[in-house]
Amino acid sequence: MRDSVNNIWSALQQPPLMVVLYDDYGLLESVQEEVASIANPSWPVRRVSTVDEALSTPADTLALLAPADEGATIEELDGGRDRFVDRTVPVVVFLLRGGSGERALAKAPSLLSWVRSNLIDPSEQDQFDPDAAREEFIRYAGKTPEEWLAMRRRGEIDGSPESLGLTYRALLLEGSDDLA
Amino acid sequence: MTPNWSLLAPHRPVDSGGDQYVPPPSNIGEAVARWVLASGAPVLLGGPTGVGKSTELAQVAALLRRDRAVCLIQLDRFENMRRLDPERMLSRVAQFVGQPRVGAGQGVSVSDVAKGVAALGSALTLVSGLGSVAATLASLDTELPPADAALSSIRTLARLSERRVTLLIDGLEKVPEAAQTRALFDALSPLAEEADVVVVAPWNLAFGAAANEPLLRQGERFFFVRAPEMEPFETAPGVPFLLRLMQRRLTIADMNETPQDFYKVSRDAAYWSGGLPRVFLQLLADAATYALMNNGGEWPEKSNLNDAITDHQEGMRRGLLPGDLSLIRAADGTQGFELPIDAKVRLLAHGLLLERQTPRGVVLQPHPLLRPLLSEG
Repeated sequence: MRDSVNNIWSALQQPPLMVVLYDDYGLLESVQEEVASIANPSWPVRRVSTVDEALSTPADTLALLAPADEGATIEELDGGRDRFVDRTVPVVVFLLRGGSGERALAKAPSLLSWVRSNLIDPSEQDQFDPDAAREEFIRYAGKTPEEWLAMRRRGEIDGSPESLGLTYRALLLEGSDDLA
Repeated sequence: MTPNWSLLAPHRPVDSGGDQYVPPPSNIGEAVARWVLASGAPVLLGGPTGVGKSTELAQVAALLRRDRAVCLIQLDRFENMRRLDPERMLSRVAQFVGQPRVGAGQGVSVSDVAKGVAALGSALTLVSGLGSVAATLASLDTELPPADAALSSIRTLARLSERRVTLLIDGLEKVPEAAQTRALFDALSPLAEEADVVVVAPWNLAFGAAANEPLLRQGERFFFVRAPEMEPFETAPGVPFLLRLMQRRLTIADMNETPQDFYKVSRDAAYWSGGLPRVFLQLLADAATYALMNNGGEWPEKSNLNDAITDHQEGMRRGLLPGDLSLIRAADGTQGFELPIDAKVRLLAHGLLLERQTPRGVVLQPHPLLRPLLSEG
């Protein structure tokens, strides 16, 4: 199963560079925190804003690079990507989705060939698909969310943790087929 | 046996003379080495990202070591290539040729040879005096203009080693502008009188800023590192090459030691890689990470590879500019003469279009990972 948490964890295992997109500047800090929280807790974390600062961090440090000039930073990384070759923990580059940095990636073949599979777009990857979620619920529970909730209200569902989890998911999905 | 998947290291070229080297079906490294020994004319090495240019350059260094004083200069390990100017490059060359290095992977230097001669003791008179070597080294740092310093250090190395010098320069493919590339190559020209020069170069140097403006000069030879052929898949030479590459990196002596499914997953990864070694290794590394994360598995399964393929397809989509899919569709199966040259160079450099040898000659094909996008319309 792929979601942004899985993708971030996977990319963190594969230094030297990865890219995470964010939606607006107000979310940048929380996205950085999310990445740091998924990373190995034994890794030191440094927040940096330039390529030179990222280069100066130890190879075993998680460097969170949020550049002010994203386009120029991508060009610099494209021209000097190999300076990071010996890192054991990645540098994570944060780019505004659809911004100058992401656009510059399309003209940065050297960098893109390194980060192609380590390019995370949480907002896109975590888009909720109600149809898929309903199908998964029905496959797992053998009932629609509405049927499950009706049984719950009639007291026909036990109080096991698994049942409580399913009830919570059913509440989220209740009526979601009306949305389609 | 469970492999250490981090050994796949997709971003890392094989070190010169390293035992992980697997010759590609084209044997391009050997061809370049033969050319250098036979002609001495400058060689440019080009190809898509991730095809193995740096690995082949390192192999050329290993093959020439017996006959030449070899200097493998990986400029991109030290420089932002987009900002590199001729003086800075020549300073690096002078510095590299003059200074001692740890390990033999990058060749010899003036200082290494001088130390070797000093170790002979009574043989000191064989050279014109280590004092002059020390003076040369000192002057390289401060006194001489970079071009002269580079020239002098090459001559010193040739004199001390009693061999012709070969400079193998990696990283120039990351120089985006043709004018900047040409300026750097012009700066190397005087050195080519004294040494063999082999460089990894961007395609704009071969194709020119416009189709009728080739920037290659008379006497320069362009070697193209092409992704190995993957069709027909059952007999294509690229498949066993990639499997051997993976085995060598993971130190798997025999695929029979691995789960049967892994053999199939590896072959599927080879297919989806389009023959590009880096993409192949990335797909396997990602699939192995997904296996660990999703099923606690030690070996990736097909579903894990599918997740890795999806990641790559998304990454590939982000490498496209508006209109690229139409251009790629139009170029599919042609020689690409109709493509605007800038787009052609960019799509080939990204590996989004691959050159393939067919009975009709060399034609362009979309990378396999692009096919679902192309069929979306």
